[in-house]
Amino acid sequence: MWIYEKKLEYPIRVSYTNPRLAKEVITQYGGPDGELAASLRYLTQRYTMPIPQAKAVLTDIGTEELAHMEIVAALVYNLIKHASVDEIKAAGLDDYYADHDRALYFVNAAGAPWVASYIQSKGDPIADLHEDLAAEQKARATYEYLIQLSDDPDVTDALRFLREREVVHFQRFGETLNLVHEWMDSKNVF
Amino acid sequence: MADREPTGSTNPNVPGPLRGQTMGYLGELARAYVPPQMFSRVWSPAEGLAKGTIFPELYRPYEPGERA
Repeated sequence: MWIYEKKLEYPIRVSYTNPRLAKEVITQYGGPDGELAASLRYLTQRYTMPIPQAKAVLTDIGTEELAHMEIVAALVYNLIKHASVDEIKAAGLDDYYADHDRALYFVNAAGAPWVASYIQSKGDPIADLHEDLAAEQKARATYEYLIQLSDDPDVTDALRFLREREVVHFQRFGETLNLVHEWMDSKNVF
Repeated sequence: MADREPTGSTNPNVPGPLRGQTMGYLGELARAYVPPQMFSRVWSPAEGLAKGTIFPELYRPYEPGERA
């Protein structure tokens, strides 16, 4: 159960219509290391965590990733909502336009739709937490590539915020991994 | 208890002498560690929002060109 806050976690704006940048940033909406994959991964894995602290961390971070999905959606929509069909064609976004107009859809930068095989839910808390640590590093790397590709300082500002959150999440998952190891050792389960 | 301390492990199956096999690193083999964060000073909420964290020790700003 969630309480909905009618504002973004981080305020965003874009400098100008930019369908080329939207085509790239959308990968953090529906790509393999994007925010939909992150939120669903953590909110699904939480059930088989053996200790309450681990369930709480996965629920908290999974919730925050939903907020990041909303930020990425707002960025992409603001970059394309006023784009003309000619601008969309020039940016190579015409394939997307043919199916979705200027609506949001879960695809990576190359247009491949989101699939559940981007994530795993293994039932083994050590394996799942290692996936989560890796997921944070992959998301951080993606944000760095997007910052390199961005020619809009306002978009770059939001990407920097989202990237830093991945660094913090990595630390929290690492601390959670330590707690789960300690719990397993105390149970003599190896 | 005391003979396990050098490995940093809470695993009772890891004896102290394993220390020599971890090449000076604390901890047992075949597992990953992230050092736990210790609470120290924090930035203001406004500064934390701008930077993405209120914890100075977790702030890792990125500048393009550092890696290319």
